[in-house]
Amino acid sequence: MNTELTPVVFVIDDDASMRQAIGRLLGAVGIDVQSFSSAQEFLSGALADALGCVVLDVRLPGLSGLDLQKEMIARGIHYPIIFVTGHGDIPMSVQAMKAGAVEFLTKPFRDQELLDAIVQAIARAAATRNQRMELDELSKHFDLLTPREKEVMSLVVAGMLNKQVALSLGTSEKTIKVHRGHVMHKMQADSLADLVRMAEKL
Amino acid sequence: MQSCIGDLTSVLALPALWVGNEPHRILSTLLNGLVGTLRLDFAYGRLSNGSSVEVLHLAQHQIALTTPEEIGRVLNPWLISQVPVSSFVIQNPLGAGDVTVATFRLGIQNEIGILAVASTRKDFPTMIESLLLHVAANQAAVGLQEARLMREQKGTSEQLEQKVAERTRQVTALNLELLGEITERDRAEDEQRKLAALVENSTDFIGVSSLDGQALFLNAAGQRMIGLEGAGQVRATTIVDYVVQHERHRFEEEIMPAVFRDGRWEGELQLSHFQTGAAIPMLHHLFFIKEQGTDRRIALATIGRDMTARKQAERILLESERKFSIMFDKAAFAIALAKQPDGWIVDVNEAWLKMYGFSREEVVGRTSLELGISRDPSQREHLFAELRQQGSVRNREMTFFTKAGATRLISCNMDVVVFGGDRYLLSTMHDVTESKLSEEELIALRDELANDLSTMTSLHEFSTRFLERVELQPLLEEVLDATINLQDADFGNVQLYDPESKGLRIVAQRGFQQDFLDYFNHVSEDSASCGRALQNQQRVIIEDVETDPGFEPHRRVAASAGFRAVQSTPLLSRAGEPLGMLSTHFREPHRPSQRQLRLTDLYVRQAVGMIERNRAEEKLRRSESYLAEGQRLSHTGSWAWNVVTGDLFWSAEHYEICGVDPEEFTLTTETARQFIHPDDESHASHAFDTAISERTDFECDLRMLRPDGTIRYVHSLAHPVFDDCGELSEYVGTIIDMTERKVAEQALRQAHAQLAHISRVLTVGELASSIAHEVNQPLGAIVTNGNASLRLLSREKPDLEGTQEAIDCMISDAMRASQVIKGIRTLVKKTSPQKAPLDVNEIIREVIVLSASELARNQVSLRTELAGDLQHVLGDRVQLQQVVLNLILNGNEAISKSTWLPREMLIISQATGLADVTVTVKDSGTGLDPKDHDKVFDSFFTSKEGGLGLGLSISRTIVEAHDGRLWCTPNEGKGATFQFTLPSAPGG
Repeated sequence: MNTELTPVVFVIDDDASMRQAIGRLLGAVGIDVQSFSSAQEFLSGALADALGCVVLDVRLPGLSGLDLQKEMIARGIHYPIIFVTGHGDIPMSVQAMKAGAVEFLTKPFRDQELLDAIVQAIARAAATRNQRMELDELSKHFDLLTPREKEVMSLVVAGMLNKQVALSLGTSEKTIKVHRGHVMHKMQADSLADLVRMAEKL
Repeated sequence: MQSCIGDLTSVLALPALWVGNEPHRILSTLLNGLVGTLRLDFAYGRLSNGSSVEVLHLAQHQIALTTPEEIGRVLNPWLISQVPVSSFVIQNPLGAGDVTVATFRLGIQNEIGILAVASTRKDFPTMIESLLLHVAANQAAVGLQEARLMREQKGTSEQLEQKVAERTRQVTALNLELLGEITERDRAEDEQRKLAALVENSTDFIGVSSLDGQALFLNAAGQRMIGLEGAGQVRATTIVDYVVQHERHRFEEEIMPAVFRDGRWEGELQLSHFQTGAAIPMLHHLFFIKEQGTDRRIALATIGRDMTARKQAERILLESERKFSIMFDKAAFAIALAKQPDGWIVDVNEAWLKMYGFSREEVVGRTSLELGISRDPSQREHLFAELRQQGSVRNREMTFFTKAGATRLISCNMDVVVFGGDRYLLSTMHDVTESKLSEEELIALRDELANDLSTMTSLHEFSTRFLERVELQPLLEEVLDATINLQDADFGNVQLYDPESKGLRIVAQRGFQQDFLDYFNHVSEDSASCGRALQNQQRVIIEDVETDPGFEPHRRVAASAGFRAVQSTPLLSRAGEPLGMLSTHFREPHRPSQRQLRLTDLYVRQAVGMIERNRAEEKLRRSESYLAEGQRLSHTGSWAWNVVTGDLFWSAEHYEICGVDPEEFTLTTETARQFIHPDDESHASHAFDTAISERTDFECDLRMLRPDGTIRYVHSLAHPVFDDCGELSEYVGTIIDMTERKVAEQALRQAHAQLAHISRVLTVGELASSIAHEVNQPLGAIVTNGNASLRLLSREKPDLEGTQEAIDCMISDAMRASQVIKGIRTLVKKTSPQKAPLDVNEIIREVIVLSASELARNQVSLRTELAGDLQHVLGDRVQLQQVVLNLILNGNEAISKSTWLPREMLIISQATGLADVTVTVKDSGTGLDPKDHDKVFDSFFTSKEGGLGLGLSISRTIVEAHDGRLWCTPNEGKGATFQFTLPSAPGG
């Protein structure tokens, strides 16, 4: 968990004036901003693994804001999105929110609305990021297990006793005990309950 | 024995006698000698070579009753026998008893002939005789042989001589021929020299070319004509180069094929001068030069003659001929040209034909006697004699006859003229019949006046009344009454001629019952007197209807009506057209006196005058009313203004347009001028003054201010009229009341403007969301910048620099927002169109501001290529914005419906043509459906759901109202291109 990471806000708007204004506002409250004039520019230029969120204009030349949202999901880019639009309608906002947007703001908006949304988004980004990093750790550990150990682990977390596991795998209880010891070690689990929680996350 | 020796000696001497003799003479001598010597009855000899010769000699006592041939026939069986027979006995062919015949051969094989001697003696032949005969035969053979040889020799030598003579002749002839050839060649060479000189010095164009048209030779005159110099230049040309451009097609397609087909061509052909390019009309004769003997074509030659001068002369001649011919034909007096001394008419003019009633074909080549014009041969002879003596005759009055047989008194001038060695009689004549007649009548009248003053008085009174009266009917009735009185008739009627039915109708009558009127209601055939008179165009008098054979069908009606005699006098117009008929009827057989008829003729003339005047007045009234009606319907008034007197005339409709009553209004130049609207006075006066000073047509639109204060828009047109001297005398013009049209046009314009406005409002409505975006965008930036400023200022150490930047941005964004709103307000505002010089690029940019976000919404990328140095156009800003906006939104719509990528729109402005500005809007949308291509500009045609279909139709109306053009074309790939042009503003 790298909590010392500075959050960054990606502002994507084709209107230069609006981009600058948002940059100026966020700068005034000490938030780092990266600006892009189009979706394509963002896709090719943004950091892939930063802590941050996206402030996205719905109406963009080329790929629109809503299209970019879909594209980001498809590419596994997980930044939370705050939509801003000059003229939004309800179907547009519903679509955006369904697809996981944090907020849908209509220009002109109050600065606090935007800032609140950004804080919320970054918190969500941080949480998501933590979860993802934890899972990455677990996956890494899990990958160290042999196939037999994985089999043993799945049966153990299902609540089977060593004897039962041995019986179902057709081996001795003693062998299972050794495997179980390796699993606990490799997964860095302190207890069986710990291992069960890890298995759930995986 | 002694005699025998003597005989022998004489026989032996024979050959000497024979030398040089002909064989048959030799034989004859021999036979003669033998008959005498040997006392033979006869001796016969036959020579066998060549033509057979038979000779017979008889003893002296024998009578020659037979011919050698008969004896030959008798002896023949023995003579031709193969077995040699020396003697035999036959019946004496010359007398009684037998004879002994001895035969001897001449030559060894009878090849010379045969000899037969005969004697009635029994002892014949004795030995001595036999010997003697043998010797004689041998001698004869020798002599004959010799004679033959000699003859042959002679023949040979003759032949030889003949041959020599012939050869000599041949040689002589050959020599002569040779001599001739030499002379001929000398002559030919001489001729060639002469020919060359002739060609070179000829003033004609003489040229030779190869068969494929390569020029080979052109003489000096030819080179001069077409501006070439020297053989070198000539050889560098082809004959087609010589032909003037517009004749080349004819030359290659018609003339050359004709030359090759017929071997020659002759005709007019224009060449062109190589230096000046001037066309030279020429007469050319094209032909082939052929190889001697074979007739093979070896070259093409032409001889041409410059026709320029001739053409000119021909034209002048033609012109003068034409002038003369017109003068001749149109001369007011009759002219005839007749050949002398026969008097055949060569030509006559139109006046002559009219005078005598003939057609030209009928008279040419005939004499006046043959035509019946002149009926007095002695008068003619007398006249000709006088002409021969004096050469001319002046103002001679003579009586001639027309084709119809009418007598004409003609005053003639005649001259004998000579053309080309022939003598002609040139006669000019004019008809003095009428004046003579009138003269005669006046004399008669003067005489009558003394006797019958009352008749004359009544006629005079009647004439006076006729001058005052207007109505036709009472006048005709008066004429009828007067005629009945004059002729002392019992009945009478007047009929008028109806040209449509070609018949007569009774219009006035005295004394008839209904059945008569019904019967003669309409007369078109020619048996009754009036019909006959109509047919012949002459008075008809039927003294007794009971005896007149032609009147037979009508006798019953005549009897019923109660008349026996009738006279009908036709009423003929001055042009000879039938107008009607004046008939009088009498109870008893009767014929009016000459005096009565002459007076009747005067009445008839009055009646004709009345009818003609009446008809003319009616025609005038009709055409006047047509004109007035036409003017009323077309709202056209006419006027005329005399430049010299200043008199002004207005038609009724002109008064109507000006709203004044012609009865009450006093029309002068000054009062007329007051109708012109004060605002139009200066330009109308200027236009009129200019027209007068330049003597040209005048055309002007102006307003007329009526006395009641209403305004009429009129279009005034006038045309100058010049007098005979070419001086401007009058202006004749029209004014057309255009007010209704103006009002309608104005209403139409207003309706268009209204429609355009509605369409704009609808368009702006369609754009609502985009416009909201467009306004909210800067507003959003302003608010955000404002907030940022507040935060920058509220820091512990206020960031003034950042704040200033933010405020600058806020200001420019606020300006931007206001611009958008202004644009929308302009579009939606309802204003009447106003034209001003505009920058088309500015209009495009303004519209792009409004539509950009709409395009962005459809992910359409917009590109512009706007020319930098465009001239301004004269137009209404809002309307032109509307056009551009419509085109952009249409393109956007088309792109939104398309799945094509990329989604692009291109707007181009450029200068085109001489002074046009063209705006092009090109999209990559769905394009035009070919079946809709013609309809896209129609009102209420739309491919949009919920579209009104007015956008393009209004756009086109707007562009056309700006004197421009709007059209569309499908793109090569996808989408469509809409373009419009506008004329650039003068000086803009």
